[in-house]
Amino acid sequence: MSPLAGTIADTLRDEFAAVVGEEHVLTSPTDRLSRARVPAPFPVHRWSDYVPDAIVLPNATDEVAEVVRIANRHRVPIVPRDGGTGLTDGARPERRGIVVDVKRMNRIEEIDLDNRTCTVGTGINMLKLNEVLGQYGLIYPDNPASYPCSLVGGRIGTSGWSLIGARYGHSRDLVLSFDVVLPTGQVITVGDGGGRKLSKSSTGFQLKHLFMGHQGTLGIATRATLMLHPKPEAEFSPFFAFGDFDTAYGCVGALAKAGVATFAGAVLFDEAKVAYLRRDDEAYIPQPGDVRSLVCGVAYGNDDEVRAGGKRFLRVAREFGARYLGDEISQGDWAARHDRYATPVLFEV
Amino acid sequence: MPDVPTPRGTPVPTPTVPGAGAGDGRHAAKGHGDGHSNGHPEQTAEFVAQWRNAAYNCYSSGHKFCREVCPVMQVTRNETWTPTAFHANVVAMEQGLVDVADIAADYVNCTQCGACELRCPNTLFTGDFYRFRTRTVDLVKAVRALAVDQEVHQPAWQRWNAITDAKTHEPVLGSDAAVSNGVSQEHVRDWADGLDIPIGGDTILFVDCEAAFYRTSLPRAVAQILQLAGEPFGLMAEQWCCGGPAAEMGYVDQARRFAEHNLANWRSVGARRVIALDPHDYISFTEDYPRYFGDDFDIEVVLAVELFAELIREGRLTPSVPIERHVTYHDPCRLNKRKGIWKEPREVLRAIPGLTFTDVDRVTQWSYCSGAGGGLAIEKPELTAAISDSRVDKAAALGVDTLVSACPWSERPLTAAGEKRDIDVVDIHEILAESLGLEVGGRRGA
Repeated sequence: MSPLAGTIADTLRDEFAAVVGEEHVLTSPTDRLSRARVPAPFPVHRWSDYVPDAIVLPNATDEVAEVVRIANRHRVPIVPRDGGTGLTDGARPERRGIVVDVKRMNRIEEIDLDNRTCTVGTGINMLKLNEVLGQYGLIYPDNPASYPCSLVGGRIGTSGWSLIGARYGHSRDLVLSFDVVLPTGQVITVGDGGGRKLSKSSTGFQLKHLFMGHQGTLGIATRATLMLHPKPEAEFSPFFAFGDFDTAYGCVGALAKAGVATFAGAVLFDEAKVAYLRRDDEAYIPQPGDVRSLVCGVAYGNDDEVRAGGKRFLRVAREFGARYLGDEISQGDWAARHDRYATPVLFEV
Repeated sequence: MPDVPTPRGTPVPTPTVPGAGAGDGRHAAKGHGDGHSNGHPEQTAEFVAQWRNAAYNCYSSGHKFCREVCPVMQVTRNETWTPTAFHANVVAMEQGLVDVADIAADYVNCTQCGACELRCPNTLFTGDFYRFRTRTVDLVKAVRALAVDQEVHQPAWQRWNAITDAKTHEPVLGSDAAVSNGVSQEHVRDWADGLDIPIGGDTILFVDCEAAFYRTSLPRAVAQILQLAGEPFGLMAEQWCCGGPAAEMGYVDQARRFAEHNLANWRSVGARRVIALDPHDYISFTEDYPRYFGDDFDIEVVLAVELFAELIREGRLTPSVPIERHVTYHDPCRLNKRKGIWKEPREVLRAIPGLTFTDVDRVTQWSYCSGAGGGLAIEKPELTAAISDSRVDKAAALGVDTLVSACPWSERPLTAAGEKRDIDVVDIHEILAESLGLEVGGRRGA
């Protein structure tokens, strides 16, 4: 009775089930509909055109490889799906087939304290990974806006950008190596050369970057080795208020170019955003009417270094006539999104 | 496919429960005849009209911040059972892609902890663009109610609520007839043996089903602390279940009848104030009851742990017996995530001498849960156990010997998980009573 077109044949379903288990081949309408959505602009009125026929939930690299080989034999299209949080539409089908959803592959296989790396299944989320790494005084600082929900595999598939990349690098720098199941079912490991846990900088061809940012068109990343950093002792994320956008824009550039080693990133709110926020008085700490633009600078690192860098932030901002608002807004916004992984430092105004 | 029975298209037999509908003014569970789920287009249309705005707010954002804090998602990794899917299904219903029978079983997979609502970018209290509060818990309750209304039942919930209806209490000692007989009006005050508590009065102590019949050490602790502080209180003449669990599982008419009984009973004994010792009751009395009765609901509702924190602050309670334990605190979802109550329990723990208290930030605890809420433990006990295992693993990583909770429903599965890891699970009222030099008595389980 459902207007959704039919699912896969029982024989094909049985083949997948033999690899991943009966309960990990999903074909109900809600299973299919919920994996045909991404946050990118999406034609909701044509939702049913983009559903997969079935979802397969593997739990290991060899299971992914076998699923790909079966799909190839039956000429069934495959779309890999990790978090499905990307804004670029890669994680849902164009022409039905199966979605290979890797969320079950979220194990932490190894934390190497000597080399300061960890090896994980690509279905793991960064916030959850950092909850574990925090016990060792470490952090994996890949921090997109979707930090609380995106997964390592999707970061590889999109070669994602990190909000605090100015301090720690982006996914392309932080993912040292990973296993990829190619469209043939063959499994390869790509990296920076010299081994899973090394970021080697020397002559030679590198495949790693070819297999980042392809949105699943070249294969399915299943297992990744990640570069870790010491968990920052302190965070300074002050908000500054400005009377006009141009001055705020100048200030954000000056903060980024000030050479502060702990500088991790900056946020700029223009007049439209401030005006939009202002009308929602419950969701925002009200600012006086002459505030038209806001800048947040973010520093992470050792406490003494963050304090020194923070003083420089304040000096730079003062030169632009900024008013320091403290980090009350950060307490709400930044910390709630990022689960307070460092201790905020509040300066006296 | 997940092993979830969907009784679509097949008549579900009315469970046979001793005493059900025994002419005492309550009604037995409705019998079902047609078993059709899509024969109620008007109800479905009304439901969609009510929820479509919320559903599109989620659908058009689609960021899924809710997902990794969801306790069910954390152990199942199944995107079908996430708050975004729960909202998207409303859009699918509007498009005629699914009906309630297609979706009802998915909505079992929710503890109604409220974490998703807090993480939702549409809710986050600063910095986002939508003037909207995401209400996933209410949506889940609404879908469950719609399902029950259209005769789509989950077998274990149907049986549980039928027994509750017959016994006036939840079958917390087990649902087979012999054991469930221990849960009855006759035994509802057994926990208070020897405490000399009057019936009625200005203030009533409401003792929920789990505490009254299963973890009796908890109400004994609360009652004796109140007596020690000189706070007068009494018990109900005839206490029924608060009705909250029935409301959570979709049996809304039953929930309402239970609420009506309890309110009438409070009034009949002259009560103006009710002390709740269980966060689930606190939700029922502060959210469900005002919704049922509007301005007529003139009862002041007090949460025991908040009252005790205040009495400690005022010097009317002074814990002085050292408790040599290394503890961490489990923020019950209904306090921390649903009601924003997290300071007072920490105040109480910090007032107890001898305790080593390793705290975990309440925001980090948004993703913690025991898995016991929202009826999950009744329909899918294996998921509740997995969620409790994960919670106790996090406590074990802190090197503590004791996990303190403030919710009796959480304490049962957490205790089972704790036994495997040599971590004792204690209620905050029990540990406070001990430090006040009280011999609590009672038992911590059946």
